[in-house]
Amino acid sequence: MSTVSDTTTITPATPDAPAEASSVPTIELLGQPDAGGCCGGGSCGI
Amino acid sequence: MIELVEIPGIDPHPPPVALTVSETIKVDIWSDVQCPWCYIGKRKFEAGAALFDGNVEVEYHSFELAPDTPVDFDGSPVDYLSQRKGLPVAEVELMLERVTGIAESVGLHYDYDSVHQTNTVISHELLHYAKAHGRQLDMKERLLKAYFVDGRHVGRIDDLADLAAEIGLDRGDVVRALTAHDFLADVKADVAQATAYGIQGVPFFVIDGKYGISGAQDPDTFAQALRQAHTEKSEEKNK
Repeated sequence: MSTVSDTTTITPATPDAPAEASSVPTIELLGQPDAGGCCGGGSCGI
Repeated sequence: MIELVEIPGIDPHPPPVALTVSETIKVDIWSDVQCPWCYIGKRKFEAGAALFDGNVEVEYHSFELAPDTPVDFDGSPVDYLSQRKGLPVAEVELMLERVTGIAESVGLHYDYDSVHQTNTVISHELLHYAKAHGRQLDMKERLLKAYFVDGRHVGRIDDLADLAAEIGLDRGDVVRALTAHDFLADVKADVAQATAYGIQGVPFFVIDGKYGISGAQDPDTFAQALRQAHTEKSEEKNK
């Protein structure tokens, strides 16, 4: 099986309910952390 | 009675081979029309998908980077980013110069001098309209090119309807649907799902509902993630 490095996990942001009650599954984050992206008013890139 | 005859070089009792039909890997992509990295990421993802020897189904989802932007922002993208991020004009110009160079490296000729900074919510509604008519991928490409390359306005209904007509959609029906905001709820649902996933920036790729890839990563990263998802899906099916 192939693998992808730099794996972290992000969990759903559900402040009003516990994560396990959410219908949105947890997804595993792959790839490099410094790839270009846009985040509106945030501090990343554009 | 049938007798197995051994032929030199051919194993009369080969190991069982699982019959596998190529699994389609679903990729959900959160993106905004006015995000320069989203267009670059689209090209890099497409290159990664081409490296992957399998079927990929792509669906674009709405992400609004700046929902408070007026439809007719009075100023250039440099003015906009400088004001929004509180950065000196010279620093913003360097940022745009850098991203323009990276876009060039993937074959995209950004022309920031002609970009019309705007609110993209109606363009997202159009993407949902196009999805309902089986043309979302063409519409996405047309909108990104319109904004970054062609200097077209992507915030007004009439301009968007022109772009929709260019890919063969019914201009009159597009004007009707966008005026009635038939797909606004779908846009907001996408934004809410992005929040639920914890997505804070775009492009963001969700591979087969399991793996997330943030940003305009290299094609190899996408290809490897697609292969990984495909392998796992095939193994699950053959259990």
